[in-house]
Amino acid sequence: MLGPSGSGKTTLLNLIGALDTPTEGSVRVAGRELTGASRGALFAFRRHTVSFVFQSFDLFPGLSARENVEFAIDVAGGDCAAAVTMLERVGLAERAEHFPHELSGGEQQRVAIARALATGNRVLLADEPTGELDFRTGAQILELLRGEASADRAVLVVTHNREIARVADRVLELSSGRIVSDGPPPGGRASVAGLRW
Amino acid sequence: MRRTLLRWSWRDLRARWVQVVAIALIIAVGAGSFAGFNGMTRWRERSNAASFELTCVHDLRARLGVGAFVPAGTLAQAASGIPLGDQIAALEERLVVPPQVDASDGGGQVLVRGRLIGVDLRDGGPYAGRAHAERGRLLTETDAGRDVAVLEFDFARHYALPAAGSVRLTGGRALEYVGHVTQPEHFIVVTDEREFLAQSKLAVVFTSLEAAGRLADLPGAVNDLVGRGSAGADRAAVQAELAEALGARVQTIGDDPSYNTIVRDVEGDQQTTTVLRFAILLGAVFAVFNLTARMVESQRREIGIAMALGVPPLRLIGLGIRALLREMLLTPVTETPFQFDLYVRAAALGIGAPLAAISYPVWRAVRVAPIDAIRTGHLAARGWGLSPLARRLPLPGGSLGRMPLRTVLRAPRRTLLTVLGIGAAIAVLVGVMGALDAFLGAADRSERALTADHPERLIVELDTAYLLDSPVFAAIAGFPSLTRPEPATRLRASLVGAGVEFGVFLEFVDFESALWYPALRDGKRPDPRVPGVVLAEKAGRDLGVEPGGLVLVRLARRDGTGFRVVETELRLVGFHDGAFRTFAYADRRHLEIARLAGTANQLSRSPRPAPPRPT
Repeated sequence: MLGPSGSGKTTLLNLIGALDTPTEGSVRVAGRELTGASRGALFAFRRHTVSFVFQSFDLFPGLSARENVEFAIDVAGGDCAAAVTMLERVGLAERAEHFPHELSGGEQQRVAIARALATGNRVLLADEPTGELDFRTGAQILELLRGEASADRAVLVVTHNREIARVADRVLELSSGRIVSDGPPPGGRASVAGLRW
Repeated sequence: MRRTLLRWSWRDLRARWVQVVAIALIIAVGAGSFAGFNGMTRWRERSNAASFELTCVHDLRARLGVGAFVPAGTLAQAASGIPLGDQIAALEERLVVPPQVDASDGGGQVLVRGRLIGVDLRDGGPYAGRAHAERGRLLTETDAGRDVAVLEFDFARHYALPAAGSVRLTGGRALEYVGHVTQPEHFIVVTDEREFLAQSKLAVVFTSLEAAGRLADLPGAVNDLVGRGSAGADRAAVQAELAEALGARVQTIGDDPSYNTIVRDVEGDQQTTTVLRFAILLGAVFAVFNLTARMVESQRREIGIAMALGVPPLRLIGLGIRALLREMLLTPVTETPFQFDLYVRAAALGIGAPLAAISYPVWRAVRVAPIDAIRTGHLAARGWGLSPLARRLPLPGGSLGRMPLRTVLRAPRRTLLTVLGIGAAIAVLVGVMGALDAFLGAADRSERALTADHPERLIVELDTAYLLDSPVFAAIAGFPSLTRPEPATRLRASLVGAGVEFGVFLEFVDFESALWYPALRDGKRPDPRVPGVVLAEKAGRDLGVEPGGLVLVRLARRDGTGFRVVETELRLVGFHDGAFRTFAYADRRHLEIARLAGTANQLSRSPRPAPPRPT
């Protein structure tokens, strides 16, 4: 989802993730109508359908990397033993017992991605996931997210960076709250390694 | 989910241990004060009941007028002959006289007014108003007739007197004392002038009836009768029959100032403490509310993340409560094995109030959309509360100067809670200080009313009423260092009206005296020609009478060689400035009401000014 600041992309992402409620219109995600759904139903939706990766990571500062991942698994009703596997998958097995303040920004974001993936939810929403990271680290994060997009899981990334948008299969471009284009990335699709930031 | 949620909660608790300890302390103070104040009342009631039972406090008491004495056996015989005599379990005569007591023991001079009480020690008595030994020993039957005594405990403790020693009474007569005792009429030491906690001014000395008679030059005389009703006795009926038989006012234990203060004022104290303890509890709830609200606010982002992950709000509220309960186990709620219900109530309040306090901030935090909880920075600052109201308000200074008011207006709910919390704390403080101030103010006002322009005034109290031309007055008038004495007569009387009757000291003084007169509240001198009384405003209020109205006075009037209780109506001249209703005044020209004209039992004098030093 591409657009300049204030174009409404984060708002749309929050509506898709049931973090916010629309003032008008309707929201339908993964075959589920969210508009008018009860609070309980929205909580269940967040628990079992969508996962978030925030720009500022938003880990629990009082929990270690492993415990942060376990928390999400626990909430979703999964097996907490999968937490270590998830951290291995994002390359942080060695840092599993570290607390967020002991991790770099890139490592924190990878923990956040591990937390999002660990739930097994079908939709992964990422709001400017590389916004606070340097180029090299941002590239690692993009590689991770790119690799998670599959037939079973949609990965929706919000960015204002056109170059990053080239990694996507499909780009929705927003301007002043409206979708102005929907299709393959403008400028052609590229691999993460081929990006020029 | 429980395990990771609890871990999150526990880690957070540890990170905020200072706030958690503060909350625990506030809850402890709030619940502890609530339980403590309430428990104190019951402990006092139970202790009082046990103490009065132990010391066989009297039910009824008949006291002869000042200076009136009868031969031993007279009062008891008259009392036992009443139709309801079988309802009296114990009946004992006493001799009560007011000597000066010199308890100086070399460590300093201790010379105070005394109350010498001669009691009947026969057959292991007394059986009404027994003493309880605090130090040394009690009087026994073998002490009857000997110059052996025991001292009232508070007086002895005040002057740090040894457990055994000697005191001298008026006339230089010595008494050996063998112990310090408490006695039900003196659990709180009260002077005849209703000065409470007067252990520094009044020495109560107990000895045998025989010794007291000898020391007071009144051998074989008594002037006091105390009795205890048997179980199920109709005390009011017995009281009425006794009054009729003795021709004297018979008081119940409820008229005793010490007993009243200890027992009946518990109820008054309870009302005060009820207000205080609820105010303290309210203050504690507000304090906890504010503290938890701020803690929850600081947790708001994490709560938002948890909600974004799908944690149900109820589980988050449960977590908050569970975390609080963990701390509540440390709360030292006052526990006594006798007050289980109170313990449960205080514990319920101690738990319930903070739970109520924490629930709202947590509920408020979880009811917002998760994105609002997560948002920080400029996005979170979208609420401006009431600050737009101040937009057109001209304020001095620049934006920095306007910021405090805007900040206060921006969060009106928090501002209101803070104001309420501070208000509750201030209200408690002002309440306590105000109560103390009112008490001390009343005491000061009474003292000013009694001393007026002559704080050096001396009052000589005589053991009985003497004719003004008697040698006693001549002897006192002979002291060259004192001014001419002014006679006064103090009588015990009762004021009746508006369904109440209470005892007073009715003093007949000279309203035209240059030394002292009972000034009215407007500062004027009362008119001596009006046959009336000057009362405390409280007495007038209790009797339901205003100045100019009539007051029914019940007093002992001389009748031949004895006294007879009569009732007479006197006009209320005005109110004096004293706070205590016990003091009433009339001019000496109207002493004929009691047929005591030409006599006095008090003398007021003041020291003569010292002659100028030779230069």
